[in-house]
Amino acid sequence: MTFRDRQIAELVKARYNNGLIDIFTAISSENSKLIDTPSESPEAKSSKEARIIKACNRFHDDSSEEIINSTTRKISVLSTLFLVLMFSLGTLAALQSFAQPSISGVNVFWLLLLLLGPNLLMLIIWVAMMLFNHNPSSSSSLTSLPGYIIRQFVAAIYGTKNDQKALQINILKTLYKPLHGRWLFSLISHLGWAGFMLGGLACVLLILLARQVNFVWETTLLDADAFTHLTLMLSYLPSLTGLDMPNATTVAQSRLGAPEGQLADVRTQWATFLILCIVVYGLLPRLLLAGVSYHLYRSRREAFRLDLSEPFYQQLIRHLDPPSRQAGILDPDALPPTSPSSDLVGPLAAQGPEAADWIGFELDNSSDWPPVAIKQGKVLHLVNDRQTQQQLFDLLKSYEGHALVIATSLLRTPDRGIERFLRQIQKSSSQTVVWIGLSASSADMANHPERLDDWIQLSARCHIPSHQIFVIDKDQNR
Amino acid sequence: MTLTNPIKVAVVGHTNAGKTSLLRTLLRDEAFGEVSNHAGTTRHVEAASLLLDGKPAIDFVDTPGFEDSIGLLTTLEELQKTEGIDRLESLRAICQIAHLYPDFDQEIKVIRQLLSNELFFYVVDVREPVLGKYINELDILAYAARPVIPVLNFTASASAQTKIWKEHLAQLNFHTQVVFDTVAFKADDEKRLLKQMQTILSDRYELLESIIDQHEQQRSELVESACLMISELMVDAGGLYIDCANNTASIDAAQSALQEKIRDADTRCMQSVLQLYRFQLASISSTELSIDQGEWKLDLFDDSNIQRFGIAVGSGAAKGALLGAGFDLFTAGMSLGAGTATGALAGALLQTGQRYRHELNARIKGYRSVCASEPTLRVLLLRQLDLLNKLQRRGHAATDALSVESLSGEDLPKEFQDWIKQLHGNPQWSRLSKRFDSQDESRNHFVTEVADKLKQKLK
Ligand SMILES: Nc1nc2c(ncn2[C@@H]2O[C@H](COP(=O)(O)OP(=O)(O)OP(=O)(O)O)[C@@H](O)[C@H]2O)c(=O)[nH]1
Ligand SMILES: [Mg+2]
Repeated sequence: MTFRDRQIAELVKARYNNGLIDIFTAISSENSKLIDTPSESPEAKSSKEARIIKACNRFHDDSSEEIINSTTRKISVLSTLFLVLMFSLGTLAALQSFAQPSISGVNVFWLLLLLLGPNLLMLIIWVAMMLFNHNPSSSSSLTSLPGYIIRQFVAAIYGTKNDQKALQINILKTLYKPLHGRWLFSLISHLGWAGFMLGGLACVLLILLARQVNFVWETTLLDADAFTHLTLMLSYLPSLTGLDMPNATTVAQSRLGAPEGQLADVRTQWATFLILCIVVYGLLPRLLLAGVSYHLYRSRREAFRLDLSEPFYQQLIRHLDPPSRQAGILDPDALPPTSPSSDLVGPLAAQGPEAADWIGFELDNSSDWPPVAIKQGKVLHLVNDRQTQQQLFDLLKSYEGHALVIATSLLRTPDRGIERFLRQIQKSSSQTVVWIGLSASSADMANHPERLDDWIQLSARCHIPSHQIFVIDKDQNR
Repeated sequence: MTLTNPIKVAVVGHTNAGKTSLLRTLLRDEAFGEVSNHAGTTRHVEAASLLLDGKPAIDFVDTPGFEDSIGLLTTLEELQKTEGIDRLESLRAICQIAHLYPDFDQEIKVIRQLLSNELFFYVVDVREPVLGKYINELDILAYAARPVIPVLNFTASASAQTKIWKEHLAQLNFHTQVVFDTVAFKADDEKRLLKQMQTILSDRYELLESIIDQHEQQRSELVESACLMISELMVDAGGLYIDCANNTASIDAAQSALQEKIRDADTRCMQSVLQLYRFQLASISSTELSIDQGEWKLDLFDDSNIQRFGIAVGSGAAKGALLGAGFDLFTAGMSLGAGTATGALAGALLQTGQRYRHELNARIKGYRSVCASEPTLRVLLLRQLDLLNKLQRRGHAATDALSVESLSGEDLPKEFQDWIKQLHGNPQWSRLSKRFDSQDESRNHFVTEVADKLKQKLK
């Protein structure tokens, strides 16, 4: 997993958060299709992050690729422009100090101050920023200056006019997270200043090659000794190269207004001093820091991990890790569904028969029995289980009545067991009209609207027409 | 984890007792099988696995319901008599001559599963009286000589006769029933069911323990993520400002733009939470969020607003001194103290300038800005919390529409007022806004803090 993979995941997250893509619906519908994937897929072994990244990569298309590429492109263009700018500034600074009014020579320390001074100041500011914004998650509302500069930088890349651009900024910001973003920022800034020094150096070299320059220094307030000391101190590092540096006497001789003209080797000493100072105190430290920043930027980038506790990733994990998986049909049903003869289906009877014998069948509870709906006739039997069913069938063998009411509860689910029972009754008492009384309260009717129809269908399958079915109001029994 | 074979469980019971529903809830899968309030809904034997770390841990099979256990039992007894075989053998025998019993086609499918699974869940509809046909179903299960866990379903229903069923089952020597309701889901019931399996299948103890742990972990992760989502929604909605010119027409336009954005975010949040809990998007019906308008009050001098800038407002003098924005900026710089680094100081000044610039611009140039009012945000939050509360108690077998409403305001954390103030002061926190700043770390802190408080408020 590379940084780029994670970058893509972050990009998908940003697009999701901005409502541009809906990846979860797509993943769920894929999941439901994965019925017979082998359970031991290598995927199950890889880390959560890896699986998230893999999933996100599938939503990475040309347009999001273009967002990443154009961002990188714009950053390099802007950085290059910045480098060129800094290079020219360096040249200008050097030119400026050579163009001093002083006729007799170039002021060495002024030149050094112009070239190295801003560099040093910015270096100090950079160090301070790095120190004081050490903890990127600190909740201080004093958002850092680098943060601010990066924001402006980003705004410069995109502008903030339309929504699409605003989105791109969000995306860019997530792509350059604080941890490595600050090092990228450092890298660019160090390179810029190295460019500045290089510009200055090139300009100085060019002028020294093409012109004969006397080096002088001057002061009003300071003591001459201070300059001697300063020169000796500054020349310590450059002198390690073995080249000739100005010594105490040459420094004293070079003060503005010193009587004798400058010797050629003194000029060379000063020139070497100047060039080496720029290289050693200006260019090299910046290049070194740029190298360090680059290294840190790369390693922080590689160390970057997705924050899996974010809701988006949590959601994604849930989708990638479904709690269950359908395994399909093991034992299919081969029989076609039976449809009852529809000519037996019609309106119900308003009430039960005038005179009939009653059978209580799988009633809810004994308080429903006997129902007040019984006007004439008698209770024949109460059927609740296999044994009582058998007893009833035995009874019916010698039964001679005309009408039989099977009172049951509407709440029973009409099943094949009941169907078999009704058929058997029909068979054993073919002379008799069989009625079905469904005991139900009005609440039952309302809660199970489909149940009555199921009973009508079942009765029809047993050749009991619906005008022999009636509802017994359970509430009346109370 | 060592590779263990999944536990094989067959879910059996009378037709319409809720077998498929039980599996939907246990599997967290609304799309499993077919569910309806008619007999014989499930006609195929269908399998699904509960996964642990992506691997099947329990293989469930859903079976067609028993419909005619009385007839089947009679047939089995006849077989035993005529063939001179024992009960278990009669089960095997009837499977071999299944074609002779077309009426019992569905029941024989169940019997095949009785012979090939190690444990049965016997699902009971406790609204039903204890009828002979149900007892006979248990008799047939006993033929297979495997452990059975009666699962008492519909226990949340008004006409549940849970106690009567428990007594009867105890008489039949089933002392370890589990109470359940596949629609009004309780996590504890599910845990009890798994614990029950643990006592019965003692060699599967570890595997079941891991499943229980996973369930628990997932439950807390879900709540956490959902609270984060809701918290983010509130931040997005609360921090959103839309600028407009100072006339009725453009204020109206800005208001409807605001409403649309917030409604959109609200719906997306709802959908995300539903998806998180693995509910289909269609199952929700909600009262439309009514958004009434509040206006952006330039509340520069509010204490909490000032403190956001890291300025200690200690004395009344300091407060009184904050008379104008210019002075304000000045104070912001000064209070940082001498020891602060130049960079940070510069940053602070720039930042402060940034934060106030827009509001000052608005005031000077006569812009207006609209944002969601407090009551709107209250409704938004309450509804999302209500949804979350309901989802946690909703089994995946539920088929009724889920309705979400916002109830009384008492249910919000007491910090709510304070949150609104903070949100109104931090437009850069809103992801819906052009001013969104994803690098503002204080947003994340705020979001997690709110999410924590919301979590505590959940029932
Ligand atoms: N209120 C409530 N309704 C339930 C519950 N369990 C199941 N139901 C409902 O009961 C009816 C039957 O559920 P199913 O899951 O189809 O029952 P089944 O046992 O699979 O039925 P068959 O497949 O026909 O054998 C459906 O309308 C479900 O919505 C429960 O616990 N509470
Ligand atoms: Mg079913």
